[in-house]
Amino acid sequence: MKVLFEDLKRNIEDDVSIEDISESLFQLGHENEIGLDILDIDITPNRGDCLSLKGILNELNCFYKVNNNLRFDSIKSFEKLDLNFENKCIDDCPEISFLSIEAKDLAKKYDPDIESFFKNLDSKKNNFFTDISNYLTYEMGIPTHCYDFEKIDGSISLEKNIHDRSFTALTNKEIKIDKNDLVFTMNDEIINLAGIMGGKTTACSDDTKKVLIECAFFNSETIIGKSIKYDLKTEASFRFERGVDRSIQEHVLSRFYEIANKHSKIIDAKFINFSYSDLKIKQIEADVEKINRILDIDISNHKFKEILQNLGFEVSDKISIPSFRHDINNQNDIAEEIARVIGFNNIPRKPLNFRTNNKNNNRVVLDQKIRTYLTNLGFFECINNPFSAEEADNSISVDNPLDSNKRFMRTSPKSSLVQNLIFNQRRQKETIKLFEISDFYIKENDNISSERRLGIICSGRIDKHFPFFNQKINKGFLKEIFSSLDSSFDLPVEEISNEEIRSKKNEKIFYSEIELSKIQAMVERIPEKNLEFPKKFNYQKVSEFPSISRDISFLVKDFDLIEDLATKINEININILKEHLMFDYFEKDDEVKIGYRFVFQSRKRTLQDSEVDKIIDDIVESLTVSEKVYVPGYKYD
Amino acid sequence: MDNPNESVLNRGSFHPITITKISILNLLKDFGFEIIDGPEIESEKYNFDMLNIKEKHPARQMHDTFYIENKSKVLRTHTSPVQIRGMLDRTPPFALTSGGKVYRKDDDSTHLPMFNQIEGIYVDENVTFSKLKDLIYRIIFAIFDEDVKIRFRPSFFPFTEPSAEVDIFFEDDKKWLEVLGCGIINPIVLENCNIDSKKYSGLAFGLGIERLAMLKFGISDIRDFYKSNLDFLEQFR
Repeated sequence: MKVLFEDLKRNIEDDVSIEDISESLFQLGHENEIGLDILDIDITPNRGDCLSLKGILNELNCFYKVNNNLRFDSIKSFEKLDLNFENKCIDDCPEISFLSIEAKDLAKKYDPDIESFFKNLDSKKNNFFTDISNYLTYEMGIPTHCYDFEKIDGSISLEKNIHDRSFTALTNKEIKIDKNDLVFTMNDEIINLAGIMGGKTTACSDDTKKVLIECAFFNSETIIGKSIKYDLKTEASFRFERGVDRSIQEHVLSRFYEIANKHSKIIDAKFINFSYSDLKIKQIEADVEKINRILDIDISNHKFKEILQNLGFEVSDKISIPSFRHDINNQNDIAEEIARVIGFNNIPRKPLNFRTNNKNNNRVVLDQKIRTYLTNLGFFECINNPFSAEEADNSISVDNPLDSNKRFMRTSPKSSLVQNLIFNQRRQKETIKLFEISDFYIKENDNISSERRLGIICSGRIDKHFPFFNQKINKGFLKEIFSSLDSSFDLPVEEISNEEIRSKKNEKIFYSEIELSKIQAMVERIPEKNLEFPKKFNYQKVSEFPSISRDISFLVKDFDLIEDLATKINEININILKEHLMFDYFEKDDEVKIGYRFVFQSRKRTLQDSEVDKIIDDIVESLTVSEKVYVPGYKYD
Repeated sequence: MDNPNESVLNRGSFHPITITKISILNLLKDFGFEIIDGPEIESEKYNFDMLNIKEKHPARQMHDTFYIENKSKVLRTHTSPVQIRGMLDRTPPFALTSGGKVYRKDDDSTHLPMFNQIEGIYVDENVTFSKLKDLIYRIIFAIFDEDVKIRFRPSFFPFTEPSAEVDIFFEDDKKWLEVLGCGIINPIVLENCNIDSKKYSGLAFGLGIERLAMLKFGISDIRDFYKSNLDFLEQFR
């Protein structure tokens, strides 16, 4: 909701800045941003009453002296409009008013306040009557709809379940209306999708001189969801969905007349109101002690009343809720009103002493033990989306999937882990060891049941460091993964062929999956790891560019220099050097060969071989300063 | 071949979402909370009705919530139904916390269809807004620093009243960022769970684990959590 600062300031007697108002609204729960003399206010969905200049002023009345009693000459005394109108849905629309106006000499330019609305809030001008309607939505928060009265040539009905459900909206959009949706019809033709958007056939134009203005109260539940369903999001639907004030339809039309009268010569005006039930004013007991107990504060009865009255409540023994506040239903709602005005940040902290004993959860503990065990063996935990394109016999189907590839709930972690593996293969990973623990839901007859399962997938080298660099993962590696816990445990393992998953790699892939309940007894022996947030964390955004590796084999002829070499390598500080690792170590007689792999990657670009070669030259030169540490076969300068 | 000795293998890592979730659950357990869990596939009754989310509430529409098997169930949109199940099984006082996956029909650069939440509730006599504030301060101080600036601002959740969102000030960026939502449990929700709201009151809070992990670890793109990229996961060893 965007509001012009000048409109607020004009109605506030105190000397306020836009920053003052911004801060006051923030305290009241209306997040906002200050633009160029504009406040862009985020209104929570329960506060439809704040979606107008009037609504915002109602709120600011807590802090400032506000002139918000917009008084207009009532149109009630106008000649009664003879309108052939039938409301067949009075539960959806218990209150509706119509005003007809015939005018001439329509102004092309409006008063400065209205001109400012169109200019500064980027609101597009349409035609005289529609412009007034749009401005009024901003000023008072109650949508009105204007029909070109010359185009109304029959009886109007408000109804559902009509036979011909085709409708052309103002925007020329052709829609087939669902039978349960509320519409205005004329001679069985839809002329307005109620609360959302009017139709093309009765729309006003620049030539319209005779207009029928409708101002209705639609129950928010009748309107909710329709604008999204028909992709017709409008200022009207936004407000009706959140609830409008039922008590001021006549007031709004009076204001419409006032503005029209100021900007044209009105020849004729008539009015009629249809009210199908009495407006019930909600009441809650005025209980300041209860409010003090909820908030743990000590405000006086006087202050309690003052706050509520400033917000538009009437307070005696009972609190009468204003008709625009659909969100107030109980004492806790009243407590929030009091707390907002006091300021949540001004309510003191008071110590909370729990009268409960903590208790762990077996499932959480079991999961943690498995994670601890597998991560100690170099496996990485993955978390995957549950949606899948694959349908199994017992798959659960999603009624409204994001897309056709996500129509079913997966019944196994296998396909997700295979995708995770392929993703990392494509990123030049030579050691891939992944696992996932998750619940899997399946259909069993008419019931839904779940199993918590562990999936493990691995491929490539056992580890990228010596001494496992040259050892490839095989079936036995995965099969014996739990052997240190129970040597007799037989983990089912399958080999996945690269062809099956369309991988271009030659490395063998092994997969295992098991229900957690089957390894529970064995896993309980694993000590639980106590996780805490790291104090400091230096996260590096992952590069999307390929890496380049170089392997260098050093010959060290003095064993005392091995550690010195490792230290020097650890101290290399080159921003594109992503990692280095020792992949080989071979002692023979009085010398040792040590293989190091240097991996280079930029976060900004694809590296060139030539620049990596130059860096490697520099590294080798700097590390081999004596005859006792050198790279055999390397051409030193 | 011999099973590799774990002491010489390079360690793998817990997923950062797990690190965040378990760290917070352990923190809450130390305060006196019982860790509970519940199903990710829920009835509308537990996911919405019992939480005072009316039948026509926008969150219940097909464009916001995943429905399954001809609308017979939903993928839970928050971890709150776990609290409902917990409340129905217990008599006050009790403190319950639950963390896990939740689902909403979003998929863009800042929202995912699956994400993780942690929620907590405490129901007892004389649970007040002032005491809720105390708990929130203690949680945030434990996760971040004792000198972090905290502010509360009014918000709206159907299941709490009053409701607040809590921001903390990040000195590096010089801006406030929201970290959690909280409030006093709406008496309607207590009564739905057969708890006498005249005698007992409760507090509730909930936070998004991805958001907290992003703030804590400095991760800028929420989608990075679910790519299973080893370059990403290796950083959490």
